[in-house]
Amino acid sequence: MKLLRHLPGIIAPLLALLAGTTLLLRAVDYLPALWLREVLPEVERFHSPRELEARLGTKLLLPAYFPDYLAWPPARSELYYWPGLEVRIFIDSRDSRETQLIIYQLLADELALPADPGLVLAEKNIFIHGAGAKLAWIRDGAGQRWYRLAWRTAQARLVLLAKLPPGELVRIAQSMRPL
Amino acid sequence: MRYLAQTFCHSLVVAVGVEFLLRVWHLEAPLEKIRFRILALALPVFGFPLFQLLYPARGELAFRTQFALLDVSKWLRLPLPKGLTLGAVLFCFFVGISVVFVVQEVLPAIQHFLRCHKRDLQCVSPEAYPELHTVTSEIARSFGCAVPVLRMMEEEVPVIYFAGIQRHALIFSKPLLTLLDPLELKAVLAHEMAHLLRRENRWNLWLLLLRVAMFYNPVAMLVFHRILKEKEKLCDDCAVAATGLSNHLASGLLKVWRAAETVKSPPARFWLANKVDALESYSRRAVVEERLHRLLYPQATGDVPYFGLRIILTAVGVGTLLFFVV
Repeated sequence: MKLLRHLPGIIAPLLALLAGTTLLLRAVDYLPALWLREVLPEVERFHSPRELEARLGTKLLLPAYFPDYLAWPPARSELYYWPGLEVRIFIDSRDSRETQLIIYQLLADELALPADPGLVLAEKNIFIHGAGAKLAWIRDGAGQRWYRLAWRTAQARLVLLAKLPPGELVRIAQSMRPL
Repeated sequence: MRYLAQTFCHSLVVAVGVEFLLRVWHLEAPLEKIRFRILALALPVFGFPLFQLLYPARGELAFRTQFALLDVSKWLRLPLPKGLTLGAVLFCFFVGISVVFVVQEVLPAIQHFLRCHKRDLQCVSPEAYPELHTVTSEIARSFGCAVPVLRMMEEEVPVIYFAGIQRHALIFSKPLLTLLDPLELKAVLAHEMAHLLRRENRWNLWLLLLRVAMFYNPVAMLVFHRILKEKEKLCDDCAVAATGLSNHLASGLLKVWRAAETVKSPPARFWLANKVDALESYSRRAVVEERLHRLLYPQATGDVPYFGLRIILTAVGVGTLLFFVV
């Protein structure tokens, strides 16, 4: 009984301390992101997504559906050290060696979405495995068409930027999982 | 470097948390403060290897990006002007603190050790100083411990301290006996014998090992010094409880401190060494003032219930939090 009487006085300050410190630590963790908004991050380059996965210690989401006209392995697999981590995978066309698809995986909430390559002409809300996603039509400075598809999974925020037809892009997005 | 920065953050979090809880829970007694601060000193030392043992993948990117509350490597990589990073600046800071640790703490401790061992400290016979032996025996009786060996050192300033881990001895200089009146001497002796009774040198050795393990860490340095300060207060309380001479202990303490301060060491050749000396002198003065205030205006400190439970909950709670600071 005596313990029960004293317990709130013991537990409450401790919980307040832990909650306050947790918030403070999260804020301190977020600060470098603000600082680095305008600064180029460190970049680590890998020969393949597998190598990148080994560095991260976690599986990446990769497309199980992969059209024949795209080249595998990707031309570039990069890990960007912002204060949070960002993965970029560049996939070229098999024929022209021109980038056709870029897969962005943002592993921290504070990271900003990648900049669009041009003017956004239209946007449409769709669903990828039940999660809300945004499909955007973009025209770059050279007049080329790009499509951007962005959605959130439990693991990361994903952005696909492609010169592929929108139907193909959605199909790739729906096939993405840890392989 | 990440290890150094991580343990520094751990120390900061525990130290601030412990000070917060000491205030909120009204833990005023020196012994309670000492135990909590030892937690602040020990958690960062043992926390890191324990966490790595429990979960070796804690340092990997996946943990740092998905679960960590604070990832110190984000801060270490921050770019500064002239191609520097914050990590490099922090490293220089840690090197500076390590130099201060060696110059201000290690070297004086070695010098003191060598001085004590080189000198043949005379063992004082009861016949030579009968009054001193009577007082010492009286205090030993009230503490319920054996009468310590008394040794005299040749020193111009009044000095008294206790030495030894296995074989204890009270060491004093002759000017102390002329400076203090009998009741002041009794109170001051009781203070030193309280250190001896509490086997402080053995505990101090363990504390020193923790401190050495965190030699680069300024927070550990502050916590360590605060523990030592509380130990002095604890022995003041023991001496007053045994003799009832709080005013005499205060005046004795003041006399010894003033006499020691008047014998100034020659100015050091380096600007930094002078500044550090001045800072140390200021800090010593602040400690003495605080102790005098406690002795002259004593305040009752009631027992705080469930102290053990509080310290265990704090260790578990804060320890869990530290697990997510990588």
